[in-house]
Amino acid sequence: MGITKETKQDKIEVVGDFKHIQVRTATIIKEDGIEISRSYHRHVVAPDSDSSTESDNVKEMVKLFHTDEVKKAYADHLAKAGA
Amino acid sequence: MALTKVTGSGANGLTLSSTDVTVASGDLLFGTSGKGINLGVTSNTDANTLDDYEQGTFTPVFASEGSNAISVGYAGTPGSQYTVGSYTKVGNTVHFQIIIDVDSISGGSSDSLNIGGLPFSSFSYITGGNGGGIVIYGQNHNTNPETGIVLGSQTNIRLYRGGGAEYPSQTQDLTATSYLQITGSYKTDS
Repeated sequence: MGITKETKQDKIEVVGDFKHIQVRTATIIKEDGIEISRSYHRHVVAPDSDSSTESDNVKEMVKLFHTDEVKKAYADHLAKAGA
Repeated sequence: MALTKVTGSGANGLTLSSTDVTVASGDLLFGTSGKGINLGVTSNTDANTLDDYEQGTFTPVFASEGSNAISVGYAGTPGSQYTVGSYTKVGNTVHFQIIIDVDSISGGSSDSLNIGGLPFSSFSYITGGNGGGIVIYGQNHNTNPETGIVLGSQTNIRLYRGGGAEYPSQTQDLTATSYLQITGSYKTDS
């Protein structure tokens, strides 16, 4: 089998008052089917983020959690932060 | 001293004495996620439990905090060798290091200059205050940033020219060859 490389979103979590969606992408290296390395890359989808390039799973969570109410609350929060 | 050895596959993997536990080689794993080690106490208290540790990377980007967007190109794809963020999360605190190497910029204005893309959403101001960072090295900005604060309940750092909160960096401070290294820490909800 040799060396293989696999990438997958192994953790998607919703946190905080504004339902930030935290996505962890794992890159897994295997040798003959045995994992020999795993590294993580993270990004966060905020209520005002462009989610058009996200995975289907993340898009579903955006649809579920980033409601108009949450988006407005986050926009209000950002406006205050800029003051 | 009496020792108890836990043996598997013909090798001693774990040794217990009256005072110590020794793992012969390899790591200590918990069968359930979210569990940790209680340090400095003899009872299980959340505030003394080390229950999360993670290392990884993220993709930092310059962004405008105002309505005038900027378009920034990076030397190396963001997330690669020249523009990269790395983090170590211990408990609810995230330690980060960021390198951003710009190779093109358009749309600069007097809007505040942010770095976006932090790997975890920060605490709100009320529950955790602001984390922040110090610019370790910066070059080729019209005005170099010196510090940054992590904005509450966001994944953004607002950069400052120094001299206090009345001097935020502006997107027009960036040039097509700006280079920045910043390191810092903040608390997170997760």
